[in-house]
Amino acid sequence: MTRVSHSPTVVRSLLILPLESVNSADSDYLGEGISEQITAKLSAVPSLRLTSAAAAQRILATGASPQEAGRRLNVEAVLFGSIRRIDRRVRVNAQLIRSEDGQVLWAEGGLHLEARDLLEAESLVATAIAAHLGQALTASERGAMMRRPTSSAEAFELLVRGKLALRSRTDVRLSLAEKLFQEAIQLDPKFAEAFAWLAMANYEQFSQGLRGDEAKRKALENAHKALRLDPSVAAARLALIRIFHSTGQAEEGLREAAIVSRSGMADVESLWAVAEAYLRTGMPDRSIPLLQRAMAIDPENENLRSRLSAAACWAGQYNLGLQVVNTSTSSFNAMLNASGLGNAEIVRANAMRVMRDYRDPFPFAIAWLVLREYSDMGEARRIWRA
Amino acid sequence: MEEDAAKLANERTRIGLALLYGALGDRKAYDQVRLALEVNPADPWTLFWASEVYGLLGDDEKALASLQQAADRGFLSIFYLDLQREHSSRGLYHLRNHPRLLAIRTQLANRIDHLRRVY
Repeated sequence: MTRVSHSPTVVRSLLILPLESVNSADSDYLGEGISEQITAKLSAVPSLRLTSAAAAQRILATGASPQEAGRRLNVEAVLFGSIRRIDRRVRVNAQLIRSEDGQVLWAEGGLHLEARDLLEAESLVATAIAAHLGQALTASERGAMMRRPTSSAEAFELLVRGKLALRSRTDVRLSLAEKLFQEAIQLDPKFAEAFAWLAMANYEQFSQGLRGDEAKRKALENAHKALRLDPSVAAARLALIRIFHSTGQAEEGLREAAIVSRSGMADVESLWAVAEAYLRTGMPDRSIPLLQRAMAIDPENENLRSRLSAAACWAGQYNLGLQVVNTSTSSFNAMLNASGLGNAEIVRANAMRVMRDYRDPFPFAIAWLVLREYSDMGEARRIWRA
Repeated sequence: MEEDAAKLANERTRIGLALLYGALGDRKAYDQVRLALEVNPADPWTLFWASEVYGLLGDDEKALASLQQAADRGFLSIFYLDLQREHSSRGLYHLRNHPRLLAIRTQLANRIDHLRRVY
């Protein structure tokens, strides 16, 4: 089923680019989604620093080559290639190059693999990469990589698509994510990860002011369902820790975080879960290194950026806070955190954007209050009346 | 915005409206706080922001009582309280040196120190 070269090269940092979807009409998400999933699986390898496909999107959009993307993201090697689906079967062709000089690190034309479905493809690619990077896996790491989170390949694809939809926090995209996770659960009612991500979508809808309190209750219910089905799903604990912020249970969040820490996992959700619990209980200094590790894997994740800038600001690390705030794509987060840093210019620019763009009264009100202090009330009143 | 918020039983949205009314000195802020607390009566997040709304309206006794309730029920985001103390536009700024507010801040700091030792 798999043909790969047998000359491992020790690599300590790796960028996995979105695999190019070759033929399927519905597979825009396929290449990006599988790259994200492979990155998540490989995060079980402690000695390998990973950078996600999402991190490279902005660089690739400028027409940069894979080698250039690798150089700019400061990784030793880059994996890129294509994915083709024929019915349920999946064919992957991939190549690994060294960022420094573009040298091909895999002999025999790279990795060529055919799997019976997306689920199997993800596991096979991840284990093949680990083997060819000279990473010795323990039995439990190999077991984690080969684990199938659901018996339904179709449900798995819905999960992958839902997670991509959840990256954008607009009403339409959140509703799409919710629908996709629900469909995945219909196909496999024991799919713990789908319940966990449904909980995340529900909570996001509540916290964005798009749904009422029932969305928060659903989020709580779905996170608990996920953990009953599989206590090892970090996304479910992350969802719980976030929900606990709105239920007065921040301390319980620390207990959830302790369970995640004990698992030893270092994927984005695990790192974020522990960091979030510390941040919500007044320990931003402890959350900073965890958020930095998570952002090294997924630098384009706006949620992580927001949490890191808040943590830096609250911990008095103003240079770090400013550095992160300057790259924020969320006007509300940038405004709030720049306010903590006392940077009037960033506060004013973003508060105006919040008042123009948000229909949710909470961010609007905070922008109003902030502008009151930063003395641009004439413009604020004009926007308010508009 | 008010019409949209009325369709939702979302305490966060209600608090947003309450803050806006409070900033304008409009007593409709009280109604919005009441509605927010009806959705989730014991929520420390809501109680904390309710405290700011009361502060904006100059209702200092209610502001301090609500802040105390928030702290007693698990509010730990001490930095939000510090932001209030540092920025003159915020509802609790004028209470920044009030002995009760300082005692609540100490209560939060002690609780956080305890959690640091445990976790």
